[in-house]
Order: sequence, then C-alpha cells, then structure tokens
Amino acid sequence: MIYSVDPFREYRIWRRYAYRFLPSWASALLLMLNNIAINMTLSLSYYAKANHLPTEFSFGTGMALCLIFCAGQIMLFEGFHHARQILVPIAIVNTFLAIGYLANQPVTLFNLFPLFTSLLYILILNSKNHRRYTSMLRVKRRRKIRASKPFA
Amino acid sequence: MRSGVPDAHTTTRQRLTSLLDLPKLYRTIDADPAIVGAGVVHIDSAYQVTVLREFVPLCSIKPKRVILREVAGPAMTADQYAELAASSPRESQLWREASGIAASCGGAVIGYIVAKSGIAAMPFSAGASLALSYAAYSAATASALQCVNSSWRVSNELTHPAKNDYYDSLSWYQAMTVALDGISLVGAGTTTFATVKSVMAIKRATGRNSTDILRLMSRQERAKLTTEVLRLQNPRHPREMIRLKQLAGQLPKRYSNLQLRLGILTQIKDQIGATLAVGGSIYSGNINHIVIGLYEEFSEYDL
Repeated sequence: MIYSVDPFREYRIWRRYAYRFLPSWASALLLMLNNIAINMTLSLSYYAKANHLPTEFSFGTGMALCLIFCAGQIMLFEGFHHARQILVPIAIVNTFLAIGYLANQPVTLFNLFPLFTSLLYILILNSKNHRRYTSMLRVKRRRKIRASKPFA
Repeated sequence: MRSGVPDAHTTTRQRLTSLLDLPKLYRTIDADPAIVGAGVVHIDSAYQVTVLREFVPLCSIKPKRVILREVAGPAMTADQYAELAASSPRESQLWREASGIAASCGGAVIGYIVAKSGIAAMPFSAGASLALSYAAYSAATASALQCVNSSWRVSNELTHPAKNDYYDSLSWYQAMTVALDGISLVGAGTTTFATVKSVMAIKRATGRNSTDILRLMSRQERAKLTTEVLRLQNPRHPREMIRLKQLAGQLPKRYSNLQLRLGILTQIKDQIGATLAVGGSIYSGNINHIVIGLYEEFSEYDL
C-alpha cells in the first residue's frame, strides 16, 4: 500500500471548496427537494384527483422524481458529464407541473411557491458558481480516469 | 403454530400485552378508590385507539378512562399534556413535522458532504473510507427522500391535515418510513463504528482518557499511534514488513498533529450527520415516549 494522500491537504482543499461552493450547491439541493415535495402536495395530487387515480399515485410519482434527482445529484458529485441531462429535465418537469396547476387554481403565494423554486433552481444550476463547481468535478474525474489508465 | 385468527386483529393487542404488565396495571387502578373500575385505552403514535378494558361504573356513574398515549415527539410534563388533551381534538403536528424537515434535510446535505469528503478520513478508517462513501451515498439518498417526505407532510399539515393521518394508517407507508430510517441509521452506524475504532486506536496507543484525545500529542505518542493505525490498516502484513515500508517512505513514520486533528474533526462532522439521522428516527416514531392521562367528565367546573 502506498500512502499517497495527504489528509491535511485534502481537508484544506475541501474547506476552500466548501466556503466557495456549498451555498449554491446546498441551496440548489434543498430548493429542488422542497419543490418536489410541494408539487406532490399541490399539482400531483390535483392531477391524481382529476384523473380519478388514488392519492398514492402522487406520492409515488414524487418519490420517483426525488430518486431520479438523487441519482443525478450523485452523478454530478462524481463528475459525470450527463448529470446535467438528468437534473435539468427534472426541473423542467416540476416547472410544467407548477404552471399546469396554476392554470386551474387561484394564484396565491403558496401556489406560486413551486414555480418560483423550480425557476430559481434552474437559475442556480446555470449560475457561474455552480457551473464552475461542476466543471471542477468533471476535471477531477477525468484526471482520475487518466491516472488509472496504464501508460500507452 | 398459527392460531387461525387474522394477524391484523391480534398484533396491536399482542404488542401491548408484551410491552405492558396489564394485570398489574389493572390492579393498581382498582386499588385507588377514586378510579376503581376505570376503563383503559391505549392510543398509539398513529392515533390508533385500542380499548384494553371497558369502564365499569364502580367509582362513579360517569365514565372514567385511563389513557395510555404514545407520544412521538419530545417528552412533556403532565400539566402540558393535560392542557393539550383537554383543548385540542386533533393535535397540530406542524412544529413536529417542521423539525423533521430540519433534521432530515440537514442530514441529507451533511450526508452528501460526508460521502464526498469520505476520503479525508482515510488514515483512521483503515481503508474503509470507500465503502463508507457508498454507505454515505445511500444514507444521503434516504435522508433526501425523508426530506421530501417531511416537506410534503408539512405542506399537507397546512392544507389537508387529514391526509397525513390517512398515510400514517397505511401499512406500506409505515414500512417505507421504517426502511428509510433504517438506511439512514445504517449510515449513522457505519460512521459511529469508524469513530469508535479511531477512539480505541488512540486510547490503545497513547493510554489517554476518551476526554483527552483532542490534546496535542508528543512525537513518541504520534509514532505509536501511527504504528497502531498502520497495523489496523494492514492486518495481514507482519510488523517487520510495515516497518520496512515505513523506512522506505511508502508508509508514514508518524502523523502530524494537524493530520490527527483533521481525522478527529472529520469523525465529529460525520457524527453530527449521524445524530441528525438518529434524531429524525426518533421524530418519525421508531423510539417513542408514552404519556398516561386520566379522562373524566365533570358535571360542573370546580377548582
């Protein structure tokens, strides 16, 4: 076993990254989780009722959305290029759900909340800070893959 | 051997019979002349009511009942509970659900951070950091699902509180909640295991008390601890081989104080996430308090 990782250096890198990227990343995560939850309460249960489906349908759909979102989040953390192609459609689905619900319901602050949160999520996902963070993770992953390959 | 009685009819009563010494409880009630013959009612945390004993009009004509109530939230005083039981037909669970959000969403964020920075704990976790990361990812995903569930319950509490009660009565929902708690707790368990291992290694190498492990160590103590950690990391290697690798510079001779402190700080960070997971489980009902109340009707209000 070759001892090649300096934990203190790793920790300092981690702390620097945390100060820089944690606010945008954590707020994006929490926004999306809360967005899915409120869509489960409002629009998904409304559609379930409108289509004479049991309320469990809305719960199951919400949980499935959350699972797909978590998969995208883990992919993003591991530096996969396709993570964005999972996270953005989830945000778009949530936006459409919120818009569809607002078309048939009174425009109250509570009903507007999922629309705001999903749009804000897309904004944060496209912010310079978040893009920088994901691009760093991608570079890290590429370097790891390159280092594990034998010399040609 | 199965009795032939459907499980759903017997499980609640069986659980209560195993939890409580019912004959002793009845004897204690009947020993008090003020409540002799009082009915005994059990209400579990999902508002499922089980009448354990009917009221017999011995102490008074008006019914008296001893209420055994499981409370999933924090413990409260007798006066607080009496006030609550007298005033509200259906307790508002908004604050309880909101605290559930804080615990599970905080746990999700910390869980992802721990999963990502699990490599930082490498010297102490004896090469288990990678496995720890996978467990942490699963625990973080479970916490994220719990976060969505808690947020959904809060918005239900604001709009349709009855929906929460309906879902609490569904068996698959209860099973799912327990499963999510279990996965979170497994993550907390692996973290705790790594922490205990680190503390034991430090105690064995330095002979210090558990409260003293954060103090800076001398060169000799650090060298001894490094040898101990390397022995734990390489259980199949003989001591001489480890020594040779140390001399060759492939393994460290001694960790610096900063490295040791970093390891301990990472463990503390993990433990905060683990505490949140356990706290969430307590709130969701795997660990419950029980409150005993006495219900009695009065013809006139007198102090």
